[in-house]
Amino acid sequence: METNSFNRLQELKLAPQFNRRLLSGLTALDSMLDGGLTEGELSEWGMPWGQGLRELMLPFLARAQRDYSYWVLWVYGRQHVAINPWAWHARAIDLNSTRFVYSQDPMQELRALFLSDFFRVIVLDQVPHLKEEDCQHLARNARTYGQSIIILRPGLLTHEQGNIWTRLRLNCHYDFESQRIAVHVLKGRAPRTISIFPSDLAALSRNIV
Amino acid sequence: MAAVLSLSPSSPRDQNDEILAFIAIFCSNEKQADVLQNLSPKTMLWVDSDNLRLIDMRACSDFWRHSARQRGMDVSLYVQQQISEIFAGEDYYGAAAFTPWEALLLAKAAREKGFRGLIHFSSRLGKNLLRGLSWDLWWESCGEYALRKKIPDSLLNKAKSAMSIAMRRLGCQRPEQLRTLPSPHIRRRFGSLVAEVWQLSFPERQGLERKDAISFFPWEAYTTSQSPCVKRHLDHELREWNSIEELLREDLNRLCVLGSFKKEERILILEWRIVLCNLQVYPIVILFRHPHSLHQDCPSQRTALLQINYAFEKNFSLKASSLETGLISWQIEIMEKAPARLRQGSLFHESSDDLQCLKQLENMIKKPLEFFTLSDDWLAEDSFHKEASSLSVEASEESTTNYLPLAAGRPLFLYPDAQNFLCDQLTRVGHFQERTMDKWWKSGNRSRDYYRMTQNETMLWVYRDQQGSWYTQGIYG
Repeated sequence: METNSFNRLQELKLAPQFNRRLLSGLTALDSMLDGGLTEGELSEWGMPWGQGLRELMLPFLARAQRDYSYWVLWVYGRQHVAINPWAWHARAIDLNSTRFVYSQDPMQELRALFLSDFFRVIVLDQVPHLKEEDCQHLARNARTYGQSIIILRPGLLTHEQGNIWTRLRLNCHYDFESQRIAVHVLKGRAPRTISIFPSDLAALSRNIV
Repeated sequence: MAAVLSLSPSSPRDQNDEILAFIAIFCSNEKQADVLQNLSPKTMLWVDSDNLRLIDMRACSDFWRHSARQRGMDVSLYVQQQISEIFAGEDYYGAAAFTPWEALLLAKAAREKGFRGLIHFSSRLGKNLLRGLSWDLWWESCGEYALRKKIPDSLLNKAKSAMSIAMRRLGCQRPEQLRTLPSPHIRRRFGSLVAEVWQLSFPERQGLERKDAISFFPWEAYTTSQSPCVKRHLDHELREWNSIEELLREDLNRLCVLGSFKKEERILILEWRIVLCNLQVYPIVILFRHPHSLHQDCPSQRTALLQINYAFEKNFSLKASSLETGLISWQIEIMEKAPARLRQGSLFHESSDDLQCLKQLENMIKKPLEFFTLSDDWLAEDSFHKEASSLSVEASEESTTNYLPLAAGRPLFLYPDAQNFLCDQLTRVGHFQERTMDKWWKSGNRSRDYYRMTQNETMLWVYRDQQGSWYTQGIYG
């Protein structure tokens, strides 16, 4: 398994090429992303909290676990919430190769995890105080260790508040009227907006399970 | 004997853990006694003259469970097999129980009656032996307890004579016959020493919880040799972590070449005792989540230095700056280590599998990673276990898929405690989700009706109990 080469890359100080793409399985989303999320890249998603949008991330994680046997780390920075593991399991997440951690300062508290290629998919969900230099550091590590680092922001992203270190920036929001999830590309791919029905997500999870 | 020890295959996992909590074993051979430490780093020599040793299996329970599962064996049988190997086929007297005191009494009873091997507390033989425990054995154990607690003999003798007379008059031939006698009554008539031992002897009957019965026990860790330790006296006082780190690295590497610290041994607790300019001494305890090999991390010692750094920042950096003082000397001592396994090569196999990598990483970070296993429970809050150790990685495979359709409609995030939900004008009642039976024997409520509510553009997982009260239990992140 590729994840066994723990820290070997660090010793060699080499940045290999990672050509894999993480697919969600949702045709519209994958084609909007030109074939999925690229390994070794940092992506930033504007995802208002409480609209069920995080479910959009799970197909990427489930496929990465199923297709490539990747370990996944979900770092959550929101206080007073806990993980509901059965719900994650029902959405095709393999809990055996998933670890969760609550941290408001992962760059300090979880430093070693970013300096190894063990967790190939890392989601930073609503981590506060993630500064520009942190993003620079994360982008470099993602490139070096072939990690896919996904930053989920609790609000929508804007062009005014850009981020030079992320290759891909998207906004997601839930349209309560039409009951659809809208995904809009801000940076990194051709500007487009697509709509996804929550029922499509549920059907996709059932298929993966 | 195997039949006595074997567990039912359907035994719940928690029960298996508890079954192995404590082992009491008579072992007069010093070499074998040292090897017994391979079962767990936490052992105790109860009585010198008797060579009765106690082993706290909780320290390594995950490892034994994992190893037994890999071999497709019952964990009790697997441990019994290990003990038989240590004794190389010789007979021995031993007992396994939930608490150290019960294990100790059972081992003594087994020796008295001549039942060899490892006898389980829950087995029929174990229960019968404890039922038949004589007053002589009980008083003997009581005397040893008093010795451990440094209680004068006079107190014990006084209590013993008073209680013996009372028991003779009552016609009570064995302690078990009076197991329901409340300990406050015993305390009033025969003193607190006897009452304490009485509680430990019959914890369930006396309403003593298992964890209390364990903490109550006068445990004294057994050490075979002096703890490996290195000292450093500095030429100049040091304040900056960068300069301290370099010297600490040297010292950790010095520890690796000490004769008292074997290459196969793994450290669990390290103490860094620092001395400041004003000669104040601060002990900083560094705990490792998984047994860590200093030898393998040589010469960088990255893992240990990271943990020392976290502990230093947490415990000392504020004090150092407020006192405006620096370090002038220190001592690094290995307080607890997992011994080398003589029979099976390494206790913590240094294979390059994912778990080994994960354990190394977990030792390097400040926050513990959370790992969840599923349990077959219909209530969301009771449907999982949060595990601390990576060794339990295969546990979730045991769960069935009965709750998948139910879980598919539930939210990804829960609130640790259900909060009162207040409806306002902006609240939109969403779809009815599910009707679930509540645990009425605990809460008094019989059922819950779940809905997906939207409030201020936030989708909540809300339920209504039988009284019509609304509670928010989760959020669709």
